[in-house]
Amino acid sequence: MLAIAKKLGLTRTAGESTLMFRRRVQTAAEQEALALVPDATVRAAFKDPPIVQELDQDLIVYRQWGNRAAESGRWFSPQPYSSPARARPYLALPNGITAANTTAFRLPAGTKVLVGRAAPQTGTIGFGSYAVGGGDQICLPDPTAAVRIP
Amino acid sequence: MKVSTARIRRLIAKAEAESVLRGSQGYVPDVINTLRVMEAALGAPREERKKITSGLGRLVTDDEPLLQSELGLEVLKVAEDFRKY
Repeated sequence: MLAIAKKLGLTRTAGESTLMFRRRVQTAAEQEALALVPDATVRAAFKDPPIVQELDQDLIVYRQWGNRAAESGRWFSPQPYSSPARARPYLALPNGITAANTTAFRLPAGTKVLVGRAAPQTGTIGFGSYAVGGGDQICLPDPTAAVRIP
Repeated sequence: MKVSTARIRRLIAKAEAESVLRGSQGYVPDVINTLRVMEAALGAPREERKKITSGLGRLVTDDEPLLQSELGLEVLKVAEDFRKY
């Protein structure tokens, strides 16, 4: 979480533990961004409540896809995984995603994202016992904001 | 709004019809399975209901055609109501 927070330019507030980051009061624009994705149902995919952030600089992210998952979408990770066997558990990917492919995307500065750790989905319908979660993930309320890197 | 058996069954029927149209693409079959479990768990403790629907948002939002459809939005609405009530 520390690495992704640093990458996203989040600041740590004095007195908070190393894993706690200051959460700004949501602006109207951020509330609007959240409204683009169903609230509670999407938040349930995060282990803890996600941080809503407007990027202050471009960010390169990675999407693991294949089989039922298309190349473009709303879910990304801030770093690539070395193999599907690593991506699938940490990102708690659904059974239908093989993660056989990885595509890099650029999220332009100003893009609104939800950031946090993947919730465990073991025992959940549509997920396997491998889906332990814990990996850093990014949800993009507006998927058209992601620019595929050739 | 409280979720009833009739409401879930109507949604299952709609999802099954959609599944025939879409074939093996996307997550509609998993959504149908989740709805069936939800139907059986009406009246279960809240924590159990939350667990049942915890993956549904991830599934639906990773299937853009489903998310943009009337069915997808209805599934998410029912899931939220199911978690709450």
